[in-house]
Amino acid sequence: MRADDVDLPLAPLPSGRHGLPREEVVRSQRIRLLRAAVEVAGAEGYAGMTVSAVIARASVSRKTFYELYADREDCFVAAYDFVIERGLRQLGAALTDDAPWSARMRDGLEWALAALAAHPCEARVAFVEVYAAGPRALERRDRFAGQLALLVAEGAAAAPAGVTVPSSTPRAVVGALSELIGMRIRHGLVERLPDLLPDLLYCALAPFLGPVGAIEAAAGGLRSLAAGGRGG
Amino acid sequence: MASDGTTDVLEDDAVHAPALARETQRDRLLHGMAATVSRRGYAGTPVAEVLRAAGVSRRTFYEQFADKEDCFLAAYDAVLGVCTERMIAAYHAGETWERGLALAYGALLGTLAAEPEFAHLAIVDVLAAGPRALARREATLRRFARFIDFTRERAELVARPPTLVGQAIVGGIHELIYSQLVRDRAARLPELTDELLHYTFMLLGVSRPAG
Repeated sequence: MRADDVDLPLAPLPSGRHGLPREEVVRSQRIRLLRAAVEVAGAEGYAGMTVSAVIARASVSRKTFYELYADREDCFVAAYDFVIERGLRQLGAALTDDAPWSARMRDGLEWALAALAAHPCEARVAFVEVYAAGPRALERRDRFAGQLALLVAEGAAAAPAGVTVPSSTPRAVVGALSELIGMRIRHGLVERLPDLLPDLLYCALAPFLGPVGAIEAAAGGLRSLAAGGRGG
Repeated sequence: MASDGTTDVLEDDAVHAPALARETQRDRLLHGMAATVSRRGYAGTPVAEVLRAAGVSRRTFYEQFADKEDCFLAAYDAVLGVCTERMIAAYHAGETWERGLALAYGALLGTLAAEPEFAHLAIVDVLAAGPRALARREATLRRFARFIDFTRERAELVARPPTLVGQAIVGGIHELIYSQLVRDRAARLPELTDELLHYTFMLLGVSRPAG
């Protein structure tokens, strides 16, 4: 899927002879279906994400749906991938490569919490409904957690001298953050996620830097945020 | 609190033995549910398959349970009950709170390793079993977080972590158990004990890492 896909307009193409090449039409239909799936699953849950609801929202025929996806599970998995790929791409853009690890964690979390609060349907798909959509969705979620763990794993090098961080710690941090975020989404508190930044930052840093180091790094980072600074 | 290691040995024997009885027809149905759902997922588990795995009649099933969900929740409660009981007993066998927590983690991981199908049901399949199962799961995580908070009251802290740190510890532990279970590596869960302790102590704000 191309990076600019997400900016395609949601409106259906004009019917009849519009002169667009076939592949453009299919691409537009696919994007509309994925966005519709995110909106329906985000509002009604995976259980309420029927093919009828998705095609109605996307203004795409049932026949077209089944040309593109085997069933609703297949469509959900594609929609999940769509949300996650876009999220990881934007997360990468929000991070400064040469910033210290703790500053990258702060910037990444700050971006993620704001993005989730601004996109509640995507948030629910990524952190709640993915668990309900069957084994393939669970595999994707597992892979996504592994990708996030790689970003967190850079922290092992930031640990104080003499402390060896177990290799499973990055994955534990990802699990902790996703549980804390998922629980708030399930309770309808998605808009308040950005308030959690200091606490989640502590939870991300402490397993590597230790409690005191995490509090200092988090406080320093938040001071520079308050001052409008983006450095470490 | 035995300091000669007797308690540890007893605990080890206890946590590595199968945890759940198979005596009654109800027990057999719970085992049948765990065996089936851990292989086929919740949505892919028909009651007929549970009956076959349990060797129990449909009539008996419906004398015991209202429906598939009811049976699933009973299996969930059964394995969680055993885990909780063993964790509390193990914790109290520790001469210090750190040792108690280590024993409690060992008891949890050992119990799950000894009952891989129930472990899969309680950690993985519960996520797909509907709103009542999710509510059950959330209550469990909250209870475990309170257990962590309780042990924290006995700790000498070098820092004051945020109040949600108990939830973060439970979330992290859950993730590590989950990622072993989806890879069918339940037998390796007990190897995680030290890593879970390190993670816990660093987040709790205890001066020294686990050892």
